[in-house]
Amino acid sequence: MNGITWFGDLFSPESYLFWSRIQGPAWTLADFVVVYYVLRLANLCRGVMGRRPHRFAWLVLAGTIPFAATIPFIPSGTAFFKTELLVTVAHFLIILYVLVTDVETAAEALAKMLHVDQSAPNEGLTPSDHSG
Amino acid sequence: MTRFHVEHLLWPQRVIGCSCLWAASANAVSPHVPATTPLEHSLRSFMLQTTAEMAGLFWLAAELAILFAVLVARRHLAAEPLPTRLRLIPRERRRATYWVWIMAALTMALLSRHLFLVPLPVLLATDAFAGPNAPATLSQALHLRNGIHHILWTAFVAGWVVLECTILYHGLHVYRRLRHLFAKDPPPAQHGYPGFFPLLFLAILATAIRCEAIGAVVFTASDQAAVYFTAYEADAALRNAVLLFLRCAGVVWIAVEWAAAFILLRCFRLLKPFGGC
Repeated sequence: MNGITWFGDLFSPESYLFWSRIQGPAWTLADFVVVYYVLRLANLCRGVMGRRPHRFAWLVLAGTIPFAATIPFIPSGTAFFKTELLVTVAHFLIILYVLVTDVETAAEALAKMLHVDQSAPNEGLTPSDHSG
Repeated sequence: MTRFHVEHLLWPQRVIGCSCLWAASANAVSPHVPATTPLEHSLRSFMLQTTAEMAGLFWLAAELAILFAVLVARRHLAAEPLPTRLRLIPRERRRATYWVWIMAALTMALLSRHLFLVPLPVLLATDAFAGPNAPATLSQALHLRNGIHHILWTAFVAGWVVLECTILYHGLHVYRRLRHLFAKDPPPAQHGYPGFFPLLFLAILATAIRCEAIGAVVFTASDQAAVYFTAYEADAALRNAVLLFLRCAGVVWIAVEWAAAFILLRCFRLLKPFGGC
């Protein structure tokens, strides 16, 4: 218990807010990159299978940018939590939506990509040749 | 007989309290204005704790779903030749069922905590805290409720760290397999099951340390009369310890999420030439 008290005495709500303003943008930016590439990968697979790309999910992702931009200037720990909640729930929902809608498409697209690659081994094609 | 009636009288308070507190606390909450009364302060705490625990549950469920997808992807990509359709194997169906049951049980437990405990703001408004022992009873109730919240929150944080590290580990294997399939690299080396259990053990250990501290606070609560804010301030060191734990976990989140972002970037650059875009 003394150890925990000592541990707690090292920190304060002010320190928490200070470090949250630094850490929050760092992982939120990483979240944006993760969701961005999840969507690009999903659209890549959908493109291979001739399906329409995601558009609404891009709008949702873009809609979180203004909220994420306020994180470095957040006035309190409670406000930090609420803003993070808003941004990360939206990001998680995008990822879950892509998983649910595109998991089968991704499997089919990967098989198709490999089939294209394997069907023409004698033509000396490389992945860069397929990019057109 | 009297006790029977009192308990029945508390039931409507439970239901009404839980259903109305959201609206009441939404009005009471203003993060820039400090709470001036115990009722206002406890309303804010109730709102924040309930929101935090529900959000924690959602994040846990979402990360479990992502982990499940990554595990399925890893197993699917390991097949030779690569199947054209994704099929869940019986073990994966069982795993999904177990995880859904676990999440359902956790959800029920958390909802029960808020439904079956009489919310503190409701108690404050009743005669339950009347009498000479009211300050001590209030102090103990506050310690207990905040203590349970700290235990849950610390366990959630530890759980996210473990899940994110596990997702990253399996995601890395998915990327290496994709690279083998599409870039004709040497096949990835086979390893045993990942360090999931050591990580889980560390998470449980961290949570247990928190529990010990919280238990000590709860059960050594002073019997002396204490007003609400004095009782609240008594938990400051514990709350700060939880906040420090959160920021330590934040370092792991940043590292893991940037690593995941980098792996996804590499996956995209690997597959992009095959997509014709």
